Amino acid sequence: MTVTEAEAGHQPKPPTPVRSRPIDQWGSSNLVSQTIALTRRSIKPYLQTGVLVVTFIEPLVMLLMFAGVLKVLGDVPGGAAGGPDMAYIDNLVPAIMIITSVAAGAQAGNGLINDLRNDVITRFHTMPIRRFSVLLARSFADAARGLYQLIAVAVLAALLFGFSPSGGVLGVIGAIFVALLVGWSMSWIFIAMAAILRNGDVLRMITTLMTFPLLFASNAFVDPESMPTWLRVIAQGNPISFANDATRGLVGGNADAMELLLTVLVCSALVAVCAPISKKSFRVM
Amino acid sequence: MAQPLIEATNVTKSFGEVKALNGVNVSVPEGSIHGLLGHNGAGKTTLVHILSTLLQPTSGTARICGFDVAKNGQDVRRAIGLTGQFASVDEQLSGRDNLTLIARLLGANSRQARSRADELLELFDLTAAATRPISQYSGGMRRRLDISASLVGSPRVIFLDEPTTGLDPTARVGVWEIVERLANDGVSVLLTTQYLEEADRLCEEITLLSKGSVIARGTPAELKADVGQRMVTVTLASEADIPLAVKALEHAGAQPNTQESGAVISVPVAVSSDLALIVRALNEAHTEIAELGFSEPTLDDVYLRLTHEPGGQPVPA
Repeated sequence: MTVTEAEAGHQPKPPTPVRSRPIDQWGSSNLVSQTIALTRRSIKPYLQTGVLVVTFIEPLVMLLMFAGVLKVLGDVPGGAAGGPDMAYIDNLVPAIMIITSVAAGAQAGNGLINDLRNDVITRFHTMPIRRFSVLLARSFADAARGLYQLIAVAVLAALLFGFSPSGGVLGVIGAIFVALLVGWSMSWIFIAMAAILRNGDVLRMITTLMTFPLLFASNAFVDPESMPTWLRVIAQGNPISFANDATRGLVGGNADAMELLLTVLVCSALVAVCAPISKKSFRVM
Repeated sequence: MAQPLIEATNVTKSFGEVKALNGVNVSVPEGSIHGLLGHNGAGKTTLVHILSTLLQPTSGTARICGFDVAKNGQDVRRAIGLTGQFASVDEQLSGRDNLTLIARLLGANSRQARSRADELLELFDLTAAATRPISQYSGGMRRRLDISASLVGSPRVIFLDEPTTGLDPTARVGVWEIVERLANDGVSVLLTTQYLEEADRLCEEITLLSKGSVIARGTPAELKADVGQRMVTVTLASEADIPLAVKALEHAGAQPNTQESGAVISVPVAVSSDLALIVRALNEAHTEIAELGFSEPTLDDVYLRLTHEPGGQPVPA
């Protein structure tokens, strides 16, 4: 039989840690410190051994596939991108760098959707922090993943496919940075879409729909001169083609300042448009 | 009395056509535990989300420690901690990493963050599981970590949205003890629950919500006296004895209710000594008791009472 619980003895209760207010001794928290803390959080899942291995294999598969399958085109006059004066692999790697980095950037959209499904983002929204730091951290974490893959591309290409461009190590490092910038700025398109759509299935469909034509209807694998007219027009106007030209220039040691400037400008414009949209659309409910 | 730390005045919230909150008033003083009681869809969580700045009220005002939730969001967020219905911790991180992350976000350096995390883990009995990922925690451990995550910044106001839903009885009592300790230390707690028993045990004051409106408010004792009583359910050995038993109980001053069939009589009781009275009356009438049960009013009883009787209209705030 139930008896009232009121008589149950009162044990002495230890004080809870709200009395001591260690937070009073803590420093101030700002966008930079918050972004660093959150980026580390978002990177952590990428650092598991299994994930690191798969992330490393991805560019390897891409190199094997494209270097193997498309090398045939190199023997066709005017068939491959770049031209006869450049080894096909030296021509292909800069384009693969852009693809790798854009794919890593596109991942940021999925990452944000996963974060939203995880209620920890709700907690962040009830804390006295800048909400934008959550998005910045998301973009940086996936950029870090992109950087890791870009280094893998360069190292694997050099070791396995004889990638030794005339631009040298400096040229390759420059190309990695340009690719990173392109991938990072593109990630804001996907972050903005994730913040607006808040639906992983739709986002994945749109991501595939966007990235495939963007990456393939470009000068990445095949010289646009050999394409049908309609496709050539698209490929020549595709911003990814400009990005490919920029990385190819750096790798080949004949970087064009205008091309680089144009790439940086387009990337900046992308972030300037998409980041505020993401910020405005980002909510948990 | 000092200014209440939580104060909602005439708060309404509409989602399109749906009115989730319909002019709700709640006021919680320092160190007090206030219960928002109601079924799913009553508007409890919506109110908590408004008070914790996750949602904007459609009309009305809400203040936390004097700060307007709609206008001074950042000041409000400095004063509150929220533990939602679903674990708001990062599944992929360990318990300690979750707490240090929050401390870092609030401005602690790595040493301070680590020491705060360890202090909380110790207090909530999670030290042994500190380095395990949350995905391996039991429901009770997860809840305790979730609450400790809300406490990293020493908030003055804590919102607990159904803190014991889905927990086993032992874990539930563990959470209750934490909530009581918090209030002892001056934290104002607003907790939502579907369990009358939980509100009764913890809360100094209860606000009963139904379909977005406050339908009753008071101390647990007031509310229970008002709306529901404990029931004694007597099952007699023989159904034929029912008329005799009813007569004896009525004679003893009780109000027995019978069902259409079966040998069951239920009798509302005010105090536990009434139980003796019932047993004595039935003995004197020479009716044999097969089973005797004692039940507290449930939230359903409260609802039924309030929505079917004249007293059940929404109270004007």
